[in-house]
Amino acid sequence: MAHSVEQRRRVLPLRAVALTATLLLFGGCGSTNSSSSVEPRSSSATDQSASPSARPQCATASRATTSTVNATVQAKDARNSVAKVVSWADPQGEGWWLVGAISGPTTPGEGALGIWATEEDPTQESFAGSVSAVDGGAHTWSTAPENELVKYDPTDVPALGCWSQNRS
Amino acid sequence: MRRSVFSVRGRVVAIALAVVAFCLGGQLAAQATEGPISGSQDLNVTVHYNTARYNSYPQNYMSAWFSGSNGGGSTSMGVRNTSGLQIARAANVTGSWTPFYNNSGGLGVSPGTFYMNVLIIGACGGSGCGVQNWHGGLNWNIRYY
Repeated sequence: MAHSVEQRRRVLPLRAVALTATLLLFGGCGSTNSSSSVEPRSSSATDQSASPSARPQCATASRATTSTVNATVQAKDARNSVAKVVSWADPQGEGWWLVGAISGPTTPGEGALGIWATEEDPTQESFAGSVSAVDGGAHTWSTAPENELVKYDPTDVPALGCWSQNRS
Repeated sequence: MRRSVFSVRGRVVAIALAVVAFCLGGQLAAQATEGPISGSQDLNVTVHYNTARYNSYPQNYMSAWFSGSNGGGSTSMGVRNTSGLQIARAANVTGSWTPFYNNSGGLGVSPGTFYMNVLIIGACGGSGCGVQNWHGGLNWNIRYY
């Protein structure tokens, strides 16, 4: 009997430790945030501005359009280039917005994007239009003329949402 | 009998340690992050950058510092979400850490993937209005209550 009491004394603290560990595990470890991963979660948390009616119509621009944009970039500095262009059809019918990443030795660090505008459908392989520079990236890194086609607010650019969805 | 009890103790301690390590690992994964930022751009135009970062907390404190040549002007940095909307801004960013404020004027920045917008206001000096190289630092993913 005495032996049994001694055994209980030893086991009880162990049970307490086990109980604490179990509570920690199932209680979410007292986590500050259950989604602490550095990987992106669902984009719904960040799409605060996107209502269904304002949802951009995104598409990958044709090779002809990409070539036109790239030509304006290489005309500024032949070491830079744009390999992919994503387009957004302006819902107000003012044309199309074009977004591309400018890569090259003169765009270090964060990696600049450029935004251009055009009047012709950029998804067509027959694209033969011209492009104009909308944002600072296009202004800095291309020879495209200043945009007079689309209304631009640098703090709200739905075309950049298209880029986020189709960048890879 | 004694040997058996010791064995149970060993197992319990091992499991407890594993749980604590698991929990600690989870906390570390969500800790604040600090890193360098840099770019090149013309003065007086906003450039939208392409490097994606992530804020994991319900509300996140962010700050930045900036070093570059702008002829005595000012630099604003913005935080852009994946919809292309700027959700926070740090005005007059200097060599000291400057906080970002959300569009309601508070210090909490919404969670999710974000990118940087940068506007360098400056006067064209004797060196002209050429491309300005800048660098700085960024703090993000700091839980804000």
